[in-house]
Amino acid sequence: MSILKVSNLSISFGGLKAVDNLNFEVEKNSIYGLIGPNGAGKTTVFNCISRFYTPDEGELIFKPGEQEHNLLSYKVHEIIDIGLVRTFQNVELVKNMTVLENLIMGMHCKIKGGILSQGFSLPKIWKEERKAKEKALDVLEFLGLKGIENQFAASMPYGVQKLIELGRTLVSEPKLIILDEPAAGMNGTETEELATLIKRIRDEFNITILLVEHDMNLVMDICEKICVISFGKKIVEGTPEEVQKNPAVQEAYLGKEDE
Amino acid sequence: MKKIFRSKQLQILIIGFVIAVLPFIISFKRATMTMLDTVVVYSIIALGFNILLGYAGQISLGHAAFMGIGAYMSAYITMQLHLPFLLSLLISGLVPMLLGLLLGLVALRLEGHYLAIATLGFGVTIQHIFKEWTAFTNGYSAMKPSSPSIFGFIFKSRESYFVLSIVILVLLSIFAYNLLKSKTGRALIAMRDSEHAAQAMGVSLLKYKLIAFAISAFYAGIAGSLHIHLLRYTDPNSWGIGLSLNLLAMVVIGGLASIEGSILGVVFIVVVPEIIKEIPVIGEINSLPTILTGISLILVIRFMPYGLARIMTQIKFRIQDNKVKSTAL
Repeated sequence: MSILKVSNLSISFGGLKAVDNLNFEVEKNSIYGLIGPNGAGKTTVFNCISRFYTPDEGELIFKPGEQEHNLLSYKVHEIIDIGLVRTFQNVELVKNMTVLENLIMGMHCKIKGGILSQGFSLPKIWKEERKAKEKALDVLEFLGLKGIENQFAASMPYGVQKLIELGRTLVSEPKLIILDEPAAGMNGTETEELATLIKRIRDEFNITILLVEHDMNLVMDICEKICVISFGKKIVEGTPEEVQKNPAVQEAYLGKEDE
Repeated sequence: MKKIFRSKQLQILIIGFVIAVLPFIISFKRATMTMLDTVVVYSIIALGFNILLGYAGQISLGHAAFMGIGAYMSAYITMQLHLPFLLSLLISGLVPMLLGLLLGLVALRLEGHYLAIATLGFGVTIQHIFKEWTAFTNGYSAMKPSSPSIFGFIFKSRESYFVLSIVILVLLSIFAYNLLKSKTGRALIAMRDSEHAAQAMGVSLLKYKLIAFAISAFYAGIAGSLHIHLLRYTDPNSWGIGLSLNLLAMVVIGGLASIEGSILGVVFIVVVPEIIKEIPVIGEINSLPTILTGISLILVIRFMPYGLARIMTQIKFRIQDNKVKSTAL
């Protein structure tokens, strides 16, 4: 059963077709990779799914459970509440917040209480805050980051910031996480650790992962299914082995042999 | 026990109480008392403005208009409608709040410079409405309400007015502190630092821009009401661009995104010129306070971007940095 179904997705910017009639489906509890050369339109696809962009054409169906959601009828800030959350290519943390507060941001929709009850600091607000804090600490422990919760997020090394961003998605208890280049800027060891972590997230929390990535080792290692796109169009879709053998993929990345 | 004293809310209460009783222990001149009252009143609007500028990262150069609306509203309600002062205080907060929502809608479409220009236009428009709508504002003949009374007690003396305004400032500070420490505060800061991250985490920019503008306009209106009942006089000239810019200076000099900073900034802008006035020769230059404000603003932005409120932290970090550097060598 598929959790995300992208059909006939198209979007263009000033006459340039960034995504052209793209179709793919992500199976529930799978790790799905979206790859392609620079400028292929991968991040644009992500921005459509996470509703930062509205596509010109196409349909985006998200089915985390029994209920089916048409993503196009949701606003960008509403999708986290139905279980879809993303990370960003260039780490978007809140600089002037501690690591813990950054994680708590992920629970924004889950924390209840109106403006007045927050302003008067009613006991129910304390309870909500305490619950959120505990949950955030649990996730920090899972990521192996316990001890840095009161440090400023901006003072952390890049690799740690990426993990914090991942943690921020986890606290929202999502059904599908979309990761935009999770390994960018990481060294070999860090990437290997990340691969294990992503698998653990899928296995332990039953969360489906959709990722865009340039690091082929990571993609081939963890993804069960891969979709290769070039100039906004799908070239091939399949298992890592199938994709690696495909001549069209080699052509997209390396150019034609006889040229 | 220790934990209770560490709670910021209690600290605000204690500091407020100490300051409120101060004039009853040391007797100040009437002019000094008026100045202190003014500091408290401006602290209220500065606090609200800091929520908008410091926390939510939204600029407004027309905030004097909200304070003016609050002032006229309050005077009209007590003088023409003969309703109690406390009710007028509440309404003079709520009416600007509704107008603040409108400005929030504008902020959703405009950013940075364009928002500054649009809010400047808003401020100028409202000031001219004050000038023309004499049935409501009495124009240049001015509004002169009497001293406010609450449950029969008339706040006529400067000292009693000081207590009244401190009580309101303390309540509004605690409210602001609580709000900024919870979900709303986090959402505002996230929106300021990264709109993309905020949206992806479920923060509706529309909702929180409206909230920021509404709260700050509410605080401005309350300050306006207290201002007009303190000085018992107002004309349209009080609510122009000059006040809006002064407000910006107060918050920036005091410290953006800091409750204490808002108040420190007001003390700086209101009290320092009064001290200078007392100095012979220099004190006779009339525009010196304005010149000084401008220079201080530049110096603060250049050398202490976190404002007066965080100067100690800044020095501490500087020392730490130097230590690290010297050990590295």
